[in-house]
Amino acid sequence: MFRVHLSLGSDHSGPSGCAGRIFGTLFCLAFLGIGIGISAAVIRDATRDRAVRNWPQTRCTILQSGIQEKDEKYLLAVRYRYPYASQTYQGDVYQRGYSGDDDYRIAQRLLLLYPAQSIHRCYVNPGKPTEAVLAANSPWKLPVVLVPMTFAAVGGGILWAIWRGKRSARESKPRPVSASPRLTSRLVLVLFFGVFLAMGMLFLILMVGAPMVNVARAARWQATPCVVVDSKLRSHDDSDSGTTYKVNILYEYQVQGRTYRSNRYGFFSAFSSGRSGKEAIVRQHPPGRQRVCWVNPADPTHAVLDRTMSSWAWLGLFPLIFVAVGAIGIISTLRRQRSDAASPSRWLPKARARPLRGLGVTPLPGSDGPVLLRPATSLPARLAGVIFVALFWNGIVSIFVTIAVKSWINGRGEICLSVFIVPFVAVGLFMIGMIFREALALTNPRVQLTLSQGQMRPGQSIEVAWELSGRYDRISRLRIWLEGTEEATYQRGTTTTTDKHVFARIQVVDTSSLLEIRTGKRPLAVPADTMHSLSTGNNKIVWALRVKGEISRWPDLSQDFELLVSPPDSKEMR
Amino acid sequence: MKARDNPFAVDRVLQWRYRPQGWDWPWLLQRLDQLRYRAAIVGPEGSGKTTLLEDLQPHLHALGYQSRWLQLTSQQRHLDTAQRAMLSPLGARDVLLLDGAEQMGRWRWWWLRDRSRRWGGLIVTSHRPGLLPTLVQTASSAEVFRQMVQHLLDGAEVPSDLEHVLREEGGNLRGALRRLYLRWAHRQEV
Amino acid sequence: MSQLTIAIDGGATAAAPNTDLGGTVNWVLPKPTDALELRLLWRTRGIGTTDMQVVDRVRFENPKPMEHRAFRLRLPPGPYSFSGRLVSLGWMLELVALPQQESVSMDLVLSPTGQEIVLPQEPAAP
Repeated sequence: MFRVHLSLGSDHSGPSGCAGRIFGTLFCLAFLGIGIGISAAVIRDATRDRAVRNWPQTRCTILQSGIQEKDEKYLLAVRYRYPYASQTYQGDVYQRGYSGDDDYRIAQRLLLLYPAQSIHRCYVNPGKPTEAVLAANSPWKLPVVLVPMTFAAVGGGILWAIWRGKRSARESKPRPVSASPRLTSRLVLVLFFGVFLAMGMLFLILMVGAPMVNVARAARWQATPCVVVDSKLRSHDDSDSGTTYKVNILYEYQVQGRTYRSNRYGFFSAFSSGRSGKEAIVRQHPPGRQRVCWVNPADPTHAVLDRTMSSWAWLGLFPLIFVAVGAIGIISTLRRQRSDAASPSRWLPKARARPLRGLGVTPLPGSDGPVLLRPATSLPARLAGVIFVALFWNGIVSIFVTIAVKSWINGRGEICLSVFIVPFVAVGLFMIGMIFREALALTNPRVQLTLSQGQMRPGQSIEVAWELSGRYDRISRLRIWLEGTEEATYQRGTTTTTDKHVFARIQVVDTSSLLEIRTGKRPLAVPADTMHSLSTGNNKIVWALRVKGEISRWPDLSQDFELLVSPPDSKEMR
Repeated sequence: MKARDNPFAVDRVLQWRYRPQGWDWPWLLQRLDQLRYRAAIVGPEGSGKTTLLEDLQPHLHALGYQSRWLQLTSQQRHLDTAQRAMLSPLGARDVLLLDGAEQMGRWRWWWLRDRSRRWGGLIVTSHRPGLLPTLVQTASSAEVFRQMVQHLLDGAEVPSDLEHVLREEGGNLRGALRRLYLRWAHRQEV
Repeated sequence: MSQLTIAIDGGATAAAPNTDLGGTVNWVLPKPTDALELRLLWRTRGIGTTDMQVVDRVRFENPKPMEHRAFRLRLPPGPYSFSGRLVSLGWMLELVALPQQESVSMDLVLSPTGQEIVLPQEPAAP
């Protein structure tokens, strides 16, 4: 008795190669490391905040209260008096870690909450009574740890998926023969793209969604006369994105006899490039200039000078890229058809060629005309993939490199960080090298192969024409040959193994003549007593034209073109 | 040597059925009954778990059960839509034979085990114990390998390095047979 | 025990693709049988998992206990019968008594040359 196992699922090749696992492991360790590091920092911070909340409270009296501008931020400057253990102390710390905000409104709200001579409760450090805070930090900071923990989970999950497959196949030492190692399963890809989607959505909401809601609400705000108090252009230097600018116009207005100030120009208040436009706005609002501002009647501290959706709207497109990448990645991963184990009724593979008209190839009488062969892999797609991964990897790694470098420049070198990032930097440099290599390969001459007939028959002679474009003059030797390969896949238990054997090599051309390297045509005949192309699911006969162009001190031109050799009077079954 | 003449071709190898070591079929079926037909065949890669599970089918049929076969691999770790649909009509006289149960994720395994309560039985193969009570543990041995090779070679001379080949493959009979296939494939036809 | 035989016209064991294949099937059935079916199929053998496909069937209904009937099948264009180092593909005719599944089979070579195509063990030197 024999059992024929028809695969009910995908017909993938074996486990990924060693290099792929190492790359994937380092990549995942970066995610894991970042996630764990930030999680630890958030948890540590939250723990300290919790300790403050457990300090004994005492009655405190606000002596002075005002708003200070410091390091381009507005902060509540407060002084208060409090008794503790039969002594009286004075404090000036509002909250642990408080350093103000660049939005004047926030400091103003605190000022309204803590006016002079008001009485509140403050927290006193029992071990050091001279240390006190007016307000404890929010206990709801801790859930923020979920964000970095998600990164850690993604990295750990992918790492587990990579090595889990290795562990289950450890004893059988499978021999994968597929062309390129594959790192991820569908789940891993979904998680990977899910991160893009989530971050893109988050930034979209913050950068576009929230401002748009405010713009809609501001339609009911009241026009109020205001006077400009201060007007300047703030800049922010970043080694990655260069210098960005933000308009900071502080203006004053009155609502129901009370004076308020605000520095919000519009609803989008982030730093961005484009200095001249912002300078013009600052020039239009010199100190003392009368203007009309829009004030929220429900919250007079909330006001803007420009309540329209202006040119900042286009910035909302940026996170859309992440959303698109994430959504397209997830959709295409989930919708990707599992490659069918060839249905038993389909034993002839699909031709990788398209009909061609008008080329200098002589079609045979009665044939279906010349066809252009499609290469097995696309060089631009490969390069794009490498660039994408390299940018992503090096983008993350550069953050830590910057921190490490700055620490050494400041004389407080972070040794642990510096040592930790070395392997990641090495991988990043390797990927940059890969970009160069793929880019170099991309500049290689392109080869186009045309057959005088779409389908070859055993025993038939057709014409194969080649044409190289680009810097073909760099090729010292061009070889094209037809190769026939048996492929057999064995699926038993939980593992899959594929073996290959080349049974035929038929030379088409082997030349060092530049003229012939550039273009030429030769007859190509598949022996009459050989086997046609076959694909039955687990067993295949594959015919392919292999092109190799030797280039001195450069990646060789190397491309494969699968072609269909079929029996007479057969049609493509797929 | 032509593929069809190779003594280690898959269809010939699969004709060698499981040879019980230290137990017989009546004992196994009795144990299976004691375990209420919910059990696992446990053993390393290439030790005959799948073969034993296949050989169990006619015995189940003789006992009046209908068996349904599902297989998971390292490339397909969970049941797809068609396979899950296959589970819907199973009842008290149906036994699901699941090859490669250790590939399943924990949640999915628990879901399947829970569903199996309505069935006649659930018998799985696994690399590690713990999914279900162990019915039997499979293990490869040099002696079993020798017997297989002797049978496949049908009287021809048996290689002297069989033990070494099996050890090189980590005890995986399937891998060891594949090695012998390739060795014979390189031989010239006489 | 049933006795089943398949005979191809002219005693041929090979046939060319896209041709008709005729022959006769004979049987002796000790027990009543619902029907017999002649199947034309191919299957692979070698180091890979076996693939197979039943390409055509001819059903013989209401069989008598002892009878012979003629059949005619149109052979497809492929796949050819071949043998390589890793994969062999062979055709066969199989006569099956239903439902008891007793059967007999006969190998057949489907090839334009009349013989199984044998792939070289090593590629020829260019």
